[in-house]
Order: sequence, then structure tokens, then C-alpha cells
Amino acid sequence: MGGSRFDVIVVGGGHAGIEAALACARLGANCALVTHDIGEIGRMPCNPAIGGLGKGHLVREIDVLGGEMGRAIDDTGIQFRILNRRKGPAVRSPRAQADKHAYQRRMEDVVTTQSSLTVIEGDATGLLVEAGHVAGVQTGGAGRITAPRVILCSGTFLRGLMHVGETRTTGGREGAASSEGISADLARLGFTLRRLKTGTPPRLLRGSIDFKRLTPQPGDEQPVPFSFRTGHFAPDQVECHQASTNAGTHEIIAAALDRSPLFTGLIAGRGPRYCPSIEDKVVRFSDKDRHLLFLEPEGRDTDEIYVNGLSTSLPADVQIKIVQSIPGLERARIVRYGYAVEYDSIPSWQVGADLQAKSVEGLYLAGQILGTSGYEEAAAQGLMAGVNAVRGLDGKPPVILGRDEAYAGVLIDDLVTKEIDEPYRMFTSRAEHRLHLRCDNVESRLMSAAEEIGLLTSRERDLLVQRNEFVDLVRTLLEKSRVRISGKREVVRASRALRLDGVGLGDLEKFGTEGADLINTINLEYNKLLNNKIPPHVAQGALEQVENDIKYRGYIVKHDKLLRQRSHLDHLELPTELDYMTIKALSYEAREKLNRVRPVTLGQAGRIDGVRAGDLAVLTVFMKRWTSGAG
Amino acid sequence: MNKVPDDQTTVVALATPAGEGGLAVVRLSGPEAVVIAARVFRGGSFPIGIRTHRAIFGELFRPAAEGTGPASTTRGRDVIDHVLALPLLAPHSYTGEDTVEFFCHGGRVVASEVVAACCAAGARPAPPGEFTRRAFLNGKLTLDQAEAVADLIHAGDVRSARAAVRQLLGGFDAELAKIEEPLLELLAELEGSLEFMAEEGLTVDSSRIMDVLGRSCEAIDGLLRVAPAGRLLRDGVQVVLVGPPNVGKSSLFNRLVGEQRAIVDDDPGTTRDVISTRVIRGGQSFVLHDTAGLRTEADKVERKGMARTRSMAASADIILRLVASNEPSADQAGDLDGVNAPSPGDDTKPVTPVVTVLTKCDLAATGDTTISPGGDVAAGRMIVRTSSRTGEGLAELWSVLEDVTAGFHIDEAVSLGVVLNDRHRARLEQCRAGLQELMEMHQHEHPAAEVVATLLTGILTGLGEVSGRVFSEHLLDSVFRRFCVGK
Repeated sequence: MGGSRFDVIVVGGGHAGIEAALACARLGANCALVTHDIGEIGRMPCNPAIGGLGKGHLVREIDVLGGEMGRAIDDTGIQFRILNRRKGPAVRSPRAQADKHAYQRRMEDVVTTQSSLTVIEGDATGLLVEAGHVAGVQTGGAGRITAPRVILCSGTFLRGLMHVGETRTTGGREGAASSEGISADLARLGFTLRRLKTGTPPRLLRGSIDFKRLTPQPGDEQPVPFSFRTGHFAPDQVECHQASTNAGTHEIIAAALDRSPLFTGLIAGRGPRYCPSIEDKVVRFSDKDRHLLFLEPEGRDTDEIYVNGLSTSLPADVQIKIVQSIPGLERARIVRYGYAVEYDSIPSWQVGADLQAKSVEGLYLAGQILGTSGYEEAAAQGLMAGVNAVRGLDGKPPVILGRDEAYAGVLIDDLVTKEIDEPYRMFTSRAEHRLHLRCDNVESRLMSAAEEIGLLTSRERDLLVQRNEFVDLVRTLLEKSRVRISGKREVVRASRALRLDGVGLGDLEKFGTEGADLINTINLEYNKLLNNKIPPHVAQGALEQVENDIKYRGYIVKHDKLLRQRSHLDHLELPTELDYMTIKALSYEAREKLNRVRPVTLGQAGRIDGVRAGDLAVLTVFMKRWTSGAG
Repeated sequence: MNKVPDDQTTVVALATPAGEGGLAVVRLSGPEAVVIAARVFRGGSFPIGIRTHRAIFGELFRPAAEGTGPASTTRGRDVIDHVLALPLLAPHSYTGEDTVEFFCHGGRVVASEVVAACCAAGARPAPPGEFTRRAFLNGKLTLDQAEAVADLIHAGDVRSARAAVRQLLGGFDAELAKIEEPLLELLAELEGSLEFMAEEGLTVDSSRIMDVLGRSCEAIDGLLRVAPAGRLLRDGVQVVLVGPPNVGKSSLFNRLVGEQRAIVDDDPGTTRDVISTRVIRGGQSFVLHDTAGLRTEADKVERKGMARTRSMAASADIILRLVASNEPSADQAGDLDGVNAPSPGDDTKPVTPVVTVLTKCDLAATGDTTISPGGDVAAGRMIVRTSSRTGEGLAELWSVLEDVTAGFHIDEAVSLGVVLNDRHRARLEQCRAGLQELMEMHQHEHPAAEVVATLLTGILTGLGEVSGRVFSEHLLDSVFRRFCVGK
């Protein structure tokens, strides 16, 4: 558009906003980031951690695709663990505690020094829309900013309302004003809004806790970084601690329920079932005599300890009693009280798979505003929204990741297809291709998407290429070489031998001289990689991928067979301009949902709850009629 | 937004079975039903002032030549029949479209003339099942109901009609839910142990996994056991008579059917082809097939007939193997060569029951039999002595046929309200195979819980195709109900 200085405006400096703004700027667009406070860029308002089950997968993917989060946590993390180590490779996921302040400062630094990116401090108070196309953003204080693309990443700020017991304060989070104008504009533009809520636990003063009475939780002895771009990695790790509630705690909570906004109905929004408040837990699982809590330091040197598992909106005095009823915390002092925040969200069926609003061209939404929960989920959306906004400007088709390609693909497909009525968090069980979407093969499965997106430097791309070639080489080697299984005369393919024995590559030496030879060859190639400055953890990850591919190939084949019965549906496209209400043969519920979601393929239609097999059959019949013209 | 294009054509067909009868109903359905009806029917002020569901008596005639309206007087019109016209206007008709039904006198000639008249007036002949298809597309019937209607229409007997009605009422869904729920519970436990209670080191017991999977297999087996009942109900029990030439197949056939349908002749090799007739006994349809006699010397036509015999026998539900009492050893060899043997490697296909019938027992000398009657029921072989000439043994033969049929579990299917069509059956078989594989895998390889969970998810998705439940939403419900998730 002639006259505007900017190509893209990103509203919000949270985890979605950061990825969106950086992606836009790095792809060459002239980008503005509007935030009410530069010092809040990259703030972690809740859990001072990145990663976890399912989320760790997202961070790895964001990293390989060229996003920032992985590097940021590697630089500022204070404890690193791989979760589910003893379970299978598909559910193993990295997690790290962050130094919140260091993380925030680093992100602020990166954002403010990024070329082609201008940070504008101010409140976004309204959206400018002309003839169904976004035109810019109205700010309080910085006037009108125009741009043909706007990415809304306002998190929990839209008409945010905080609750501590009976006290209500408007605000997106503690110490931050809420954003009032945008919700009204969105409603006027025809968007449906929905109230959601989320909660956060109290923070305790480090010095007032008796750590000796708590169970320590150290980081991994050999911590692994998130980013493939991280070289030398030897963080100085801190300990977390485990505590638990008891019957006394539960009594205190039960007695105060009438003062809990959750139970008195003061809080309108729907909260996430997987992150229940402690009130929730005590009421719903009244037979449990204790609930585990995890005390996590918010920084290396800070005094604040985050109490994971104690999310609450009970009044301040009750919170004090609760904390002090816990062994080890009898004298603990609360530095910040836990609170719940209600906010407006835009039910995500209102955006397409490229995260662009269906009703306003050029307007993208990403992050908690779409009803997700979690920094990682937000960052993944922010990255894709930024990428697609710029591609839209360049006339390129959007990048849509498949459900069989990435958790980010599962996330966005779920958002636009399913009925999300609670804040959406990633779980590995949401991915039907879970066995294939592992942390050890991200570089492999997202190589082509990363190239398509184009955020990586040529050196970084080269690193990936070498890593993936190494994987192919080792795999081919194992396929083609034969080894003798000990004690038998049989000679089998090395890969088969490994599968049968269920062992790792390191045990190849069990298979006689051929096995030893193989190890030598692999080691040679491995060392070549290291000499080319491929970080050791990347090379190590490559070997893990080979091992796990071998171990899981059979299961993946079986599973694909089960899925293939349906996969043809993913190739049957549905017309975009169809009014499903006119197809009387569909159930009413299906018609409503189909009109709302507007699935692109029959496969996507089948993922909508309420669209049954019979409805799919009807659609198939109608598609035949549609494509062959009038009957 | 656009609509999917409607059916633009108006179709016509006989809605009652062809043949003799007191009444025939010809149905017109489609956007031009009333207009076309007005071109062939005159009664009262039709079509002016027509009301849905209000019948009008009048004349049905051949439409006047194109370009001219119908003659205004009775004498000018070419009347086919006096009929009752019943307009059933959209959406309150079987198909959901405008329909006009003509109740005319029965008889092949009149009915087909009425249909022809409608065609001349602009209707197209409806292909088989068209009315039901339109009813389905207009939302008057669900997919399962449409299939059940087809079954109901074709039901030759009371039992299959009953089963079809039950299916219309949804007995199948309940049975499926019983299979899905324990699997969903197990999956929730597995996911809980993987995702949510990772810190607390929870795992699901191996024996519990095997237990739930095993029981689901059994439950699916239960449903599959009654699966053949669907075909048996729809098509009837196929009974094929085989035996060497001149052993009395056609005579026995005629006796069983109760009328002369096959040509009986002393010349061996008379029956060249296969003759089939449906007989209903005790509420169950049997379709009897008389076949060409199997013998080694045969001319070309006869050999063709013999080939057909073999293929009929291969797909029979019950084989009646005829042996002449007075020539027990004559050309017995090769009569059932390989027909009844299970295919190599396929031990799932049940062996077809064979009833050996000693024919012409009035001609045999008493005590002179190389095959003793009675036989070994457990081995699936029963023996009955009959004489088509005297009628001896026929009642006993019917009794044996009914006993064998009882073993097909048709009653069980009907009472469960479960009549599986091929679509259901195929899906269920796939799921069962998947469960079986999973159990074996779990036993021998002890894969990680995530593998079991992922494969189980695939199986449940397959089941969901039959029941229509997208269970992935319900999975999370299940998990959160059981687990206090908090991190």
C-alpha cells in the first residue's frame, strides 16, 4: 500500500509476537512491533520454563524452522532435563528452567537490534480496517500506524481482568494494563469472542524456604541444548525441589471455597483442565491425600521461587495459610500472590490454516489470543503467522505444515478444525503420527520446510544438510552391511540385527568383526562431522535418529497401514464457497460445524467432532455430484 | 455461498413389485412431478387447488401429442385406467421432493402403460434404488437407514424383515459402544502414564493391556460371528444339490420346492444348467439350486454346466450331496473334488456343511448300503435316506436343513439388532486383525507404551469410522477424568 512505512505490524511483544516480528524482519519485510512496554518483551508471566512434554517438540521445531526460542533458552537456561527418559523416544521431550530476567533481557536485545524491525512503545487501542482488508493499528500515544498486514499477538490482554480472591483488577497480567479497544473492534468486525481464563501460582521468597526438608531435583548430568545452532554448551545448573500438600492443606482450601472466584462463579472464562488450580484439584480429586508441588527458581540470582502446581485465585490470606501448611514452607513468605486472569480470545475456527482471519484480509492472529496456552504454542503460531504474512505480501502461497510433518502442523490444524473450548495445550497424544514426530528427527523432517521458509542462514542450512546426509549414510551402511549374530551362523543385515536385539548402535561390537568394522566406519564419519564444526549434540542426535528409525520402522509401517484407510480423504478437496446448510442429508450439527470451519479437504472434515462417518459418506456423494455438474 | 446442484430430473417408477396383484402404485418424484402428473391425469380440478396428502380420483391417459394440451373431454383422451392420484408435496414425502403417486389397477400391462405415459410426459425412468437414494440425499434417511430400507424391501421373509427394522432402530450402535469404551479407557490410562504422570513413574500393567485387548477381540468376534447372518437374511440360505448324473437331483429338487420346476428325465445329463428357486420355511428363506450332474464323460454343454455346478457348490451355505442308494459306488469319485476343502492357508473360512442324501431308497435292498445313515454330525456330515417317489425322508431332510441353519446364528443377529453389511464387516475385521497384531506384538516385543498407545489410537479411529465417533476428543475427557494433571 502506498504511503505506509511498514509492511507488517505485530501487536504484542510476548512469545508469539517476538517470533512473528523477527521472522518478518528477517525475511526482509519492514516490521513494527507495538508493545505497551519494551521491558516486557519476552516476559514469562507464569512458569519460568521452556519445553516439557509435547512443548519441547515444538521448541525444537521452531528452532529448525529458523525461530528464536530455542537459542534464547539455551543462552539463558539454568537447568536442563530430558523428560520421560525411560520411556520411548517418541515421548521424550526436553525441558529447561529459565532465568526469567535473563531471558527477557536477551529477547529485548535481539528484538531491538534486529534490522528492519522497529519497536514502538505504546498501547494498541484499535484496528484499522478498510473494505474487508486490514489497514493498520490505532495506538494511544503513537497515533495511527498503517500497514497492509497486522499480526495480533495480544496474549491475555484483551479486556484482561485479574482475580485474587474477591479483588478484581483490570489488567492483562500483574503490573500491566489491559487492552480494551481491540476487542470492541473485533466484535464490530463480526468476530465471535470467548472468555477464557488462566491462573498462576504464588511466588515465595527464596530465603524463607527450608530446602533441607524438600526433595531435590537436579538437572541432567549431560544437558542437551534445544537448538541445533548452539555450539559449546556447559550451563551451570541449579536445583529444583519437590514438595507436597497434605490433608491439612486440603482442609484449608475446602473451607475457603466460598471465597474462591472459581467457585463463586465470578470468573466467567473456561480454564484448562490440564492446569487446574489447587482448588480444582482438591475438589475433583478429593480422594488424593497429597498433591505434588515443584519449587522452581525464577532466576539464578533472583529471590523468587515459583511454586508449580499451586495455581490459585483464592484470597491472599488463604494463600498464606495454604503455603504454610506445607512441610518445608512453614515460614515461607509470599512475594507475589497467585491470581487468575480472564481474557477475551478469538475462537480459532475464525482463522484459516495460514492463521489469517477468514473475514478480514491481511489480519493474522497468533498465540494465546487464539485460545492456546503456553509460550511454546504461542511461539510456534507466531513464527508461522509471521512467515505467512510476509509470503502473502510477496504473492507466495502460505506454508502449511502437515500433521505428519510437525507438532506445529498438528497444533494449527487442531486450532482451525476442532472445537476448542478450553485453552489448548500440546500433548503428544494429539499427534496421530507421534511415532514419527520425534525430537531426534526434527532436522530431518523439517529440512524442506525450513528451506521453503528461508529463515536459516546458508551456514545453518549447510549444517542441517551435513547432519541429514550423515543420517542417510549411517542408515544405508546398516542396511547394506551384514553381521553375524553371536552364537549363530546366520548372517543378517546389521539394521535387522539391531532391531532383533533391541540394542543401540554402540552394541554393534557384539556382532563380531563385521560389527566392529561398522562401528569404526561410523566413528570416522562422526569425526568428520565434528571437524566440520557440527556441534557434538547434533551429531549425537543424528545417531539417535538412526537407532530410533530402525527400532520404530515396523511400528510406523503398521500404523500407516491403519491410517492409510483414511488418508485418501486428505486428497479430496472440498469446494470453498459451499453453504453446507443446504445439504439436508447432513446432520444439523455437522452442517453448522462445516460452515464454521470450512474444511479444505474431506480428511479435515472428518477430524471435526460431530461430523460422523455417515456425514462423510454424504459429502462424498455430493462431491461427485458437484464435480460432475448438475445432476 | 453456493448450493450443491439439486437433482433436476423428475423420475418415475413402479413402486410396487412387478407381477399380478390387485393394486399397483406408480410414483413420480422430482421438481416437475405435479406438472408431469397434470399431463397424464385429470380428476377434479387437478392440478389446481391440489393439497398434499389429499387423494383425487380420476383418469390416467396417454399424453396428447407434443405441442398440444390434453383433450378437454373424456372422449378425446386415450384413457389407460381410472386411478387415485395422491400428491405428497415436499418435504413431506418419502423422497423429500414433490411426489405424485398413482394407485392403479394391478397387472403388468396397466402398470407399465402408466409408467410409459409418464415417461412420454417428460419423466425419466428411475434407476433401481433411486427413490431411496433421493430420500437419503434429502436427509430423510441416514446412511444406515437407507441400507436397511434396501434390506427391508428385499427381505424375503419375516426374520430378515425384523432384523432390518431393528437396524433402522440402531441396535448396532450399542454393541459397538461396548467394544469401544474399554479400549478408550485403556488408551486413557496409557496416555496418562506417558504424558501426565511422567513424574510419578506410573505405568500400565502389561497384563491389563493384554486383558483389555483380548476381551475386545472376543467382543468383535461375537459381532463377526453373526456377520454372515446379514447375507443369509438378505439372500437366503443357499442350498446346492450336487451328485452324479441321474442320482435324482431334479426329482428331489422338485419335491423340496413343491412344484415341478425342473425337468426330470431318465437320460443322464438332462439338467444342463442350474435352476434355482426360493422356498420359505419357518420364516427363513432357502434358495435351492439344482445342478448339472458331475460326471467324467460329458459333452461341451454338459461340461459348462458342471463348471457352474462346481462354482455354485463352492459358494453354497449347505451342500446336499446326493448318492443313489442302489448304486452307492457309481462315479462318486470326483463329485466334490476340492469343492469343500478350505483354501490353503486360510483356516478362517468355515467348512461348508454337507448333508449326504441317499436317494431312491425305495429301490435299495434293505441293509445294502456302503454308507450307513446317521453319520457324524460333529464332522459336519449328516446322512438322510429319501425317496422322491414315495416322499420318504423329506420331512427329515428339511429338519436337518433347519438344524444346520440354526448353527448360522441368524436368530442371534436378529435379536441383537445387528445385521452387518459388508462395510461394517470389513471395518470390524480390520480392527480385529489390528488388535490381534497388537497383542502378539506386545507379548513378544514388549514395545514402549507410546507404541501401544499410538497403534491403539489407529484401531480406535477405524472403529470410529463405523460408529461415527471422533474419539480423539473423548480421549482427553477420559484422561482428565481419571488423572489429576497439574504441571
